[in-house]
Amino acid sequence: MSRDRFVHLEVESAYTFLHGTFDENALVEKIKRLGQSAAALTDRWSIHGAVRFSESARRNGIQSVIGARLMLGDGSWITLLVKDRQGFRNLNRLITLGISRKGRHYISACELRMHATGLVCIAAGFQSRTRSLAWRGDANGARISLIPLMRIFGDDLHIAICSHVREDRKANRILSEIAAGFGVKTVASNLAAFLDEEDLSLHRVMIDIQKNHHHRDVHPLPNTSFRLFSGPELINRTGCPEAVDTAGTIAEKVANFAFPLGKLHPPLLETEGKPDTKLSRLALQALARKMAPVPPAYLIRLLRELEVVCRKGLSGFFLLVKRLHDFAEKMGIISSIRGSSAGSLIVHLLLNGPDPIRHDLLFERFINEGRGDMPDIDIDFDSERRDEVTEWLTTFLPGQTALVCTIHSFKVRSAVRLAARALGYPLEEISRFTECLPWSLRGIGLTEAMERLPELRDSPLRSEERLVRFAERLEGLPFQKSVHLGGVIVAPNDILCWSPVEHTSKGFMVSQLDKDDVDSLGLLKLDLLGLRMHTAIRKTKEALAEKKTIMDPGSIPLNDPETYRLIRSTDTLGVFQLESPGQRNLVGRLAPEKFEDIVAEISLFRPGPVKSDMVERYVKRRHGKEPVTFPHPSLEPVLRETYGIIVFQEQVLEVVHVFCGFSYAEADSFRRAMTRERSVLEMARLRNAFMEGAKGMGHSRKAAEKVFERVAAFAAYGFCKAHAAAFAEITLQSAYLKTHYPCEFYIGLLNAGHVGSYPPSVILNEAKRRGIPVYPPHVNHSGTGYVPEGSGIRLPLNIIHHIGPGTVRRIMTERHRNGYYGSAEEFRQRTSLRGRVFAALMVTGALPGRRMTA
Amino acid sequence: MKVPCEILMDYYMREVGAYDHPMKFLRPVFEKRGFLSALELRQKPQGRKVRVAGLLVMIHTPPTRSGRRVMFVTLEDETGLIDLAVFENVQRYWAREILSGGLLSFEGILQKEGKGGRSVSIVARRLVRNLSGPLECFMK
Repeated sequence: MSRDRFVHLEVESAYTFLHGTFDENALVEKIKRLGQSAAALTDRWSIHGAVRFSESARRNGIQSVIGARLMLGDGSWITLLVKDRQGFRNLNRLITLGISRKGRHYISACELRMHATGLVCIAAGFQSRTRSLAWRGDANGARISLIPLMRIFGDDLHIAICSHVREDRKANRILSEIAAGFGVKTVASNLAAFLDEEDLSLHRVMIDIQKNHHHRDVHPLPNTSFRLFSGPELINRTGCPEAVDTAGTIAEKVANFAFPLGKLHPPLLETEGKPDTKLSRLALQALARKMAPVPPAYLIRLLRELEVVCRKGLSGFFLLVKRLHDFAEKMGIISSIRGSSAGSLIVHLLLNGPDPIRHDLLFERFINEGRGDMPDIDIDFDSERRDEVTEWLTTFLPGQTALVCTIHSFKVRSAVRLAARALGYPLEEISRFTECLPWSLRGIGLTEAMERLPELRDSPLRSEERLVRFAERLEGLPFQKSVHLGGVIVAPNDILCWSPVEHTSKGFMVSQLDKDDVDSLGLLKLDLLGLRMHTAIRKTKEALAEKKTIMDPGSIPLNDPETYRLIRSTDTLGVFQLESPGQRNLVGRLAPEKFEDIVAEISLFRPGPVKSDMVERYVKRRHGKEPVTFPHPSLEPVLRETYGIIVFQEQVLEVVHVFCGFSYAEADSFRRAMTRERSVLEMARLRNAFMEGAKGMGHSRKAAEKVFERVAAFAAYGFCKAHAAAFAEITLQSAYLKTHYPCEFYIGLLNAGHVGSYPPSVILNEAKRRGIPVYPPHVNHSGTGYVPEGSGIRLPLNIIHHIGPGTVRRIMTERHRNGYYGSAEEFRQRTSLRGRVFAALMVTGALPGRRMTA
Repeated sequence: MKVPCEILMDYYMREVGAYDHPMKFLRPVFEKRGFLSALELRQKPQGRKVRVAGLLVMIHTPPTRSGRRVMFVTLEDETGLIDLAVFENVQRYWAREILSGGLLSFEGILQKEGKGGRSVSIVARRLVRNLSGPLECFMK
């Protein structure tokens, strides 16, 4: 197919939520089919899809033009395209200014003038005042309306020639004359919000969702002309071949800008003195404090880690995380390390991760010479206090940080519900449609699911072909944005060089980049996650303090025999990582006796090992019901602790290192390649590399093949041991508390919100079965949370229907001020609570002088 | 059968219960029909056909190697949790009832694994009855 010179420069995708009907991949596919060499993505007030669009376009040999559509004060939409880095920063700034306005978003002419450098503007398109005036034949009015933009953008202003409605023919003539008068070029630019004509109906459904679900006053696009066209089609529609040609010229003009994909952009952090020296000093001091005398193994390991960290220029990053951790510690916020970083001695010394030498954890799984990506140090904080840490970081590096955003896509259930509402079905009928419909269909379509899932066999959805069709089209499309659970971007410079930002309700700045965008751009992302188990442990500690028992979670022993007895009994409801039905079953079969057994349990209870026969074999070998064999005698030291089975990712590295003589960096690269989806060719390449390495180490081909088969079978299932070890510490802390302080532990769980798999009623039922009295809510004893009372648990008042936290506070304030309530009547007089609140308290026996009887 | 008013208070006025588990009051009915409690299951031998009933706590459907769906169902009675595995042959007839149930009763084969049969579960053969509807009518 010959190249089409036309380029779509005004494209609103599904990242203009509930408006555009396609994602970035569908756009690139369609552009390829049209034989065009470039396309723009210009969503309204957003660059949400820009990075992934650039990646997809690059993979397919298409030039990506980045821009956005913004509204001016007079309600006109303009399109801004990025020419260079300065232009991208300005676009981000303009979007930020626009969306920070409450109510209607817009940018003023003054703001546009201040931040126009590096941007190309397309004006007078659909939904602009200029075009409306031209439709009415008001050439002078149209000309005057363009003067401010002409002054701001000069040669970078282009007047849109489009063909959406009948009046556009007349308007195009007028606008062409105005452009000639100004000496600016016209550009053919039909706004595109869908790929093909038939997508108009989907667009209309999306607009109806906006109206019904978000109660917005919006209107659908009027006809099928808001789709992608070929150049000849557009010449035919507009009659302006030179304007169609200009679109290609503009794409060439902005071709200099591209996202810096595949490069690292670590933050430059100011420290007193050299960061390398400071980090080394802090780590050595911490080691000396922890161990005296320092064992040589620790010193050698620390020096090796410091050498790699300094050589990779990561000292500043470690120091930043250390400062963050110090802040949390100073404020008494419980935290723990998760992920591969727990395999580092530096992390153990400075951030209290598990001891990597004691637990035999590998630093190279975390950082090695071969890895080009930014390392992650993920930290879990007490979920109720995590925001304090985020706030500290954003204050410490003002203007350089923003939260990572998350794009939520339509899931099948929400797609059916919202599409049905948009199509006008009554709510009762919608409930019948979605009854038994899973949230996710794991890769199968709704039509197929209705054939395969027995619970949907008689679903009324089966006779709703149109609804099912729309729901299937919606599923997977971006639906709305929100804030990532804990990701914070730390940019090397002004965050606006990378993304627009907007304020969250908590006052944080959130970017328009999601976690994949951040990785693609090589930016540092710190995951400051909230862990409810930390909250539960803190609340257990508080409940113990009320009984004058002081407990420090950090000093909980990891080898307490009674704790292991509880775990072996499978009575692990509420215990971190061991409470789900599958985990309870596995601990019963494994019968853990030491810390390493818990690490193995956490690693084995993953979809991969459970799906394979790995767990079964591990359990049999552990209990001597199957002989322990090793793929090769030289691998016995590596695999002895897991009975000859590869359980950990670190073991894959060790096997390849020991058996093939690969460096750890090469071994980690091999492991990552084995973990990914592999083509036959890629698999053959990995196999050859493995065979060559094994041959170099003097192993026979037969032996090498046997080991390779084992590694290939288990590499994808292996779990990061460092991560499991970090989690195992929390598991044992929670199990210890359940063993020795069950009443307070249940109170901690209940007060920490939704901690694990079970609802509060199940936790309380277990408490009752263990002989812990549970007292009903009472206006003289209850508050807003579960509290210890004698040897039992007193329920809060706000679990009663119609009793909210405000009412509870009112009851408590009066109680604290004037003492216990003597009777129901006295309570009514003192609190003035009447109606259904009083009735609810009365009927549940929460008022004095009233006891329920059977 | 008379249901004590505590139960009605617990399950209709509150999200959690301060009093006895409703299964305690239904136990005589189930006992007559040969249903075992979670505690009694621990005393029974591996491979025995059993009947159990309880309030539905959760249903977990993790991905499986074969791609076939297994429902891991957890029920709760007055003596503890009961874990069941429901395979496709049972789902074929009762998936809808299980997914929309509140109080369920199953018949299945007892599985005991680990030292001393610590890990107790049931492979469901059939759903005896979804009692949520009658229970709700009764409570109202």
